[in-house]
Amino acid sequence: MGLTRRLEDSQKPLAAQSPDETVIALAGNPNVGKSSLFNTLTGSDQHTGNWTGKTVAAASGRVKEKFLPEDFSGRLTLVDLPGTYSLKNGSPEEIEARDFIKSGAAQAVVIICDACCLERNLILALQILELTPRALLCVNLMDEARRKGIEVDLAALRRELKIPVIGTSASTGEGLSELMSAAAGVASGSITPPESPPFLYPPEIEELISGLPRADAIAVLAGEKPSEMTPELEALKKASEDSPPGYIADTILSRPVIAAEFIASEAVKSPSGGGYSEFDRRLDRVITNRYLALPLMLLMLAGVFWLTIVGSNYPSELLGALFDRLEGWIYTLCDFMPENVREGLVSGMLRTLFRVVSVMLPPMAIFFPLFTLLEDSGLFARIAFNSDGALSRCSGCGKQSLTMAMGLGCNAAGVVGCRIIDSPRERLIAILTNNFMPCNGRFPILITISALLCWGSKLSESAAAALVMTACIAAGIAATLGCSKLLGLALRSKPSEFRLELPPYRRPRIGQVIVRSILDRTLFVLARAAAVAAPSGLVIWLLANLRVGDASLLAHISGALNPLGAALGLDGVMLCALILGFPANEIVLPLALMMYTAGSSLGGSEGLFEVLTANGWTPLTCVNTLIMTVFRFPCSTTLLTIKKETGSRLWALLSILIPTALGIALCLVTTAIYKIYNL
Amino acid sequence: MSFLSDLSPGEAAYIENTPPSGSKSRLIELGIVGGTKVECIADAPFGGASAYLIRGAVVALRHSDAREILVQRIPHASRMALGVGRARLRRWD
Repeated sequence: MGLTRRLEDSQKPLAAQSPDETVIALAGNPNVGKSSLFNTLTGSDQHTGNWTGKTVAAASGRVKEKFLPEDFSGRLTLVDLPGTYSLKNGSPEEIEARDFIKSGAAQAVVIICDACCLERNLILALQILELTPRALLCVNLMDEARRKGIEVDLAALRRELKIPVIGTSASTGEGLSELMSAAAGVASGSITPPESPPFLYPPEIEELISGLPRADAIAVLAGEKPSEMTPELEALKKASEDSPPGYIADTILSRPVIAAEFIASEAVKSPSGGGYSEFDRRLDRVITNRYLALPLMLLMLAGVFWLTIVGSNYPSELLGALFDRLEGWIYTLCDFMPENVREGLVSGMLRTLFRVVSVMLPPMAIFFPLFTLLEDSGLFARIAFNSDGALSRCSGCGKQSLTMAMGLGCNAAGVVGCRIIDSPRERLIAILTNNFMPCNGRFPILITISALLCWGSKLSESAAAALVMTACIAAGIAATLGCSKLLGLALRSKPSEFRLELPPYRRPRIGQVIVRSILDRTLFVLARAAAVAAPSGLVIWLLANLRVGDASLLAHISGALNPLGAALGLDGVMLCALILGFPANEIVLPLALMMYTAGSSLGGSEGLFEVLTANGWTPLTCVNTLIMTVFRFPCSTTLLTIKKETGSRLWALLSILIPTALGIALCLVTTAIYKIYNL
Repeated sequence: MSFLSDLSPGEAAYIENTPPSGSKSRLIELGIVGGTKVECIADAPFGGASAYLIRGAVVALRHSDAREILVQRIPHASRMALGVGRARLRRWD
């Protein structure tokens, strides 16, 4: 989900121009396999997805040697522009794409279309051709179209558009070399661009704009701002005001649609329904069925979580054991260091780092690929569609359900995922409430404490614990909806319009999905977490080992926090652990254990229940720990991401205040109830 | 004359008129102009939106937006044969 290295690189200029470098832009509708094509051609790591607006900041990469035309010397750089439906609406992505195409920074523009949905795709293609004739058309997903019985006549497209047209399939590599040599041809000028415009407007409009720079004149008539307002254009604007209001703008906007319809009717033969097959239709009828939608959706998410939790248990233990041994070796290797430096680095920093990695890596390595599989198959768009009704009532948007689900994996990933939401207001709401979904760093606490709460209960212990877990997530969802509603009222702007494309179901490419999701998301999130875990491990070790008077600093802090902790129905140690867990949620529990046992470094979790009950844990402590875990301020990684995504310290601050305040309030309530009834 | 939001799954219609407001260009870029054939594919299970087949692509629109688009219904005898009509009747029983 856009969680790629280019986030950090986006400040750099899009394409560094050097004499032997040719820049080629990739443009197209969302969901046409554009990013996938980009990845195949450049080998760059960038995630591809099956829903709108995946690429927000343009990414660039060099074309691999093997796709370069033989007679080509120098380098080809591809710039992957954001996927848009049009260039005329002034959304940030559209402006970015339009300005890049207009600027002439690219010597050629490859317009990528989905062969299964060519007619709609041609609308954008024609708009681009109006801006620049140095373009070529890439009809992608040819293999899928053939499977669906759709025939695309490339020669007819060439005839109509007068530009090179190449059919490709990114997954099989079909046509990619031809595409690159045609692109290089257009860029070098050896393939001459068409001289006439791609389509004509009605005579009365053509008359108005004759003699003027075409692109600018049309922009003026369509009611947009041209790149430069000249006196001639000013006069044109005046002249157009004679016609009935909206008439000219409407004609101009709808003209490409009609032209696209004509071209598609010449070039495409498809069964009725086009790319949307009878199979898709049947499947959609089941998935969006009023009675089946919710159970199916829950089943799917439950399946993902079950696989994640069950599947990661064993690898986590294995990794833990491996790291223990590794730590032992490193400890012996470091015997040249002074004793406390060695302790601090190995038992403090390294152990925390290892702990975080062994807890986080296996679930993420399972969760993210599963998630990506669902995403690539087209199922996620249906989930967004199904949940829009509920979410729009709470000022949200259907796509928020996806970012929430992503938040269950990692809140930082969920926050970045909010980019798929078009409307700024709804995006902000989704970002600020994402943290109510407990991420898998918080899962261990929830699971352990749920188990402790149900320890020795009459019911089956694991069933009861699972029930408590479910209640925790349900509480998170309820808080998300409630806060979204309140934030919606507070922000008080109109709900945006909602447009969501339901792409045809696709068989996900499993190999690619696993590689991409592990490279892009898992390692990215892990690296960020590790970067904070290591230094914080050192700080915590220092706190636990620097002694003031007769106790460690940590003991002093937790002692000082005791009254506050008690008021919240917790104790000083747990409160201290919750606060110190800011860098990484997964260290909260080991931290608490370390403080209870007065240890000087993070230990294992053996005998956890005994330790906790011996330290006066009551059912209330358990419940409030659960509450404070669900209603928790975002971890440092997430907070940084929120600040980056919203571009504002205020919202980042609010994202801390909202859950913390809610958590404290809830804890006060449960504590009061507990005391009144003297449970 | 009815509105796009009035269509039930399985019903098809021709677009008559799009709203005069600013959301117009957003509809046009999806290919929604006068004369375009649209088919309602599915209602969102918890209301608020429907999915429409427009020029070979399925796009979901909220009813608040679809309520501004005038359409002319096409009698859906052809789709009846495929069982969509029956499915529609079942929704109200």
